[in-house]
Amino acid sequence: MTGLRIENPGPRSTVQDGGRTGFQHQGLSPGGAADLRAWRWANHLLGNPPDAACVEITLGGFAAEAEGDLLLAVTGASGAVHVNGKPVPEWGVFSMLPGDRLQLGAPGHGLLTYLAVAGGWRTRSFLGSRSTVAREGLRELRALRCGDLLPAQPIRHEAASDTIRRRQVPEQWRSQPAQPDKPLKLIPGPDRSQFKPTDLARLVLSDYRVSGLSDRMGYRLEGPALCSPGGVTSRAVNCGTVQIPGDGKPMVMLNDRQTIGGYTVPGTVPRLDCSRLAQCRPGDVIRFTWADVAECQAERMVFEEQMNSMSWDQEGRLVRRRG
Amino acid sequence: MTVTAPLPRIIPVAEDAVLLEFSQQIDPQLAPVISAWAAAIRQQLGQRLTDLVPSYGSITVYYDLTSADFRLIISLLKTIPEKLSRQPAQRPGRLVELPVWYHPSVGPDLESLAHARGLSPDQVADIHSATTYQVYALGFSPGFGFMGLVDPAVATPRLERPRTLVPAGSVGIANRQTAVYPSLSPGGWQLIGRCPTPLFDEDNLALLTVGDRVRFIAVNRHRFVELGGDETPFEDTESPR
Repeated sequence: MTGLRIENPGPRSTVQDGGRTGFQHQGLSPGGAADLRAWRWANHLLGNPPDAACVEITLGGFAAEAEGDLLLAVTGASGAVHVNGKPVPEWGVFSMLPGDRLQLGAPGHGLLTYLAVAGGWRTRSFLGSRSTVAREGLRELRALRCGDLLPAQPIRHEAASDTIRRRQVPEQWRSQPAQPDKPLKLIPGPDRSQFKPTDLARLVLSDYRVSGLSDRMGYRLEGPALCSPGGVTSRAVNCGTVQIPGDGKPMVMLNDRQTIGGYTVPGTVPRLDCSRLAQCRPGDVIRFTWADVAECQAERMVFEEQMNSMSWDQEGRLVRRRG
Repeated sequence: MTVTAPLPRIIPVAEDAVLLEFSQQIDPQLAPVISAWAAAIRQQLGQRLTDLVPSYGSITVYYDLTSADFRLIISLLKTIPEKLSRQPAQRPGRLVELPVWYHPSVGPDLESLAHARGLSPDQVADIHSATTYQVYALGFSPGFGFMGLVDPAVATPRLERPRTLVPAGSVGIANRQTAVYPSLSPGGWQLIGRCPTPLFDEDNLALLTVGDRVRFIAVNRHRFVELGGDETPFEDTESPR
């Protein structure tokens, strides 16, 4: 079978696509690629369906061997991707022959690297998604281990043309980890009126540091605590929901969150800003700024429109599709 | 009976989600209202809907933002009361019976809870199984149904230190809520017994649905095993962290 044999998954690698939607009412967490932008570009580079599954690699440390001819793309956290010791272009396309060895060192900055294969990885699909939410313990949907084979479609010869390997996502389209001078947007939440005005001001005027207790479920932040107004009756938790638990330190819930929760919610971080947060490492500093839902929706629509309207020409250049 | 009142507060909570909040309290009267709204929203939004999460006093509607913006979704949601007023009232949810073996070997908190309330373990079982519960929400893990309301005589807070491993089937109480853990997971609810019925499997998905009613039936060890229950005694192997 054609595929990629894992020699070392690094600290944490999982298969992720757009997530398992439509089953949150059964308590199934959607999961899905935490950096939407990097995941979408990895598929775009190869002309994959936009929802194809990629491997999400956390903090590098990944090694694997090709079984068969493979055409791959890598996006996300920067740097240190090698095939047989030779560097491959960042946010670009490369091929592997049987026995070739892929290695990812620790990225220079950012946390998550996305590895796509032509046609998408053919791991188990359950309820329309190959996304892994490891704690749910669904059959075959677990974090990758040494010796696992990631199955892929045999490569089509025209797909492996030289020009496709020239494709590279221009710098301006790449995702960046959140930084204090580019704050995360915050859509006002349902419990905003329960917080003291001074606490709401504190939330957007303070620096917060990403805690070591952060993962795909949610990011805990260290910094000025808010006075928690107590809990609310449990209701749905979104990707980006900011929860204020008893200790007053904000938590931003991400893809592998539980579907409902009872902490008070001052606001929600929109999806593209969750992507920037998910690229932060423990210790990185972030800030928040209020934004309205119309603005966040428009920004997301522009992103969707751009992803749909751009394509690669014969020379491997990114162009806006006509018509 | 009409299911239109009360009207919810409608808030766009994310770029692709709108919250409908009917009440901030736990209210058994609301359950049929929430179920009726959920069904009507599914019908009204059709393909635009990506997820719908009912819970206690609210419904969160997730939608495909490439097919509708939040203003359109809110406008569509505002037509629901009129639709509901033309529909016959919903029947009460399905009644699901769940057998439980109430015993200290699989319910490690049964004796301490009984002792604290001046009851015998059997009396705790009798009180817990005397109520017909409403399923208010599913969450925490696949198939985990939050049910209520537990009789104040046996209602008890969560453990101060949650356990890292609670076996599948464990029946727990947290304040006035009760639930069965569908799979091995961490958990802080006080455990009083074990249920042999699978609450989630990959072929049939979740056994319970929001709006269902549940009655627990006390069974003995023999019957519990006959029904496929795992009688392995609960072992608190944890050392304090």
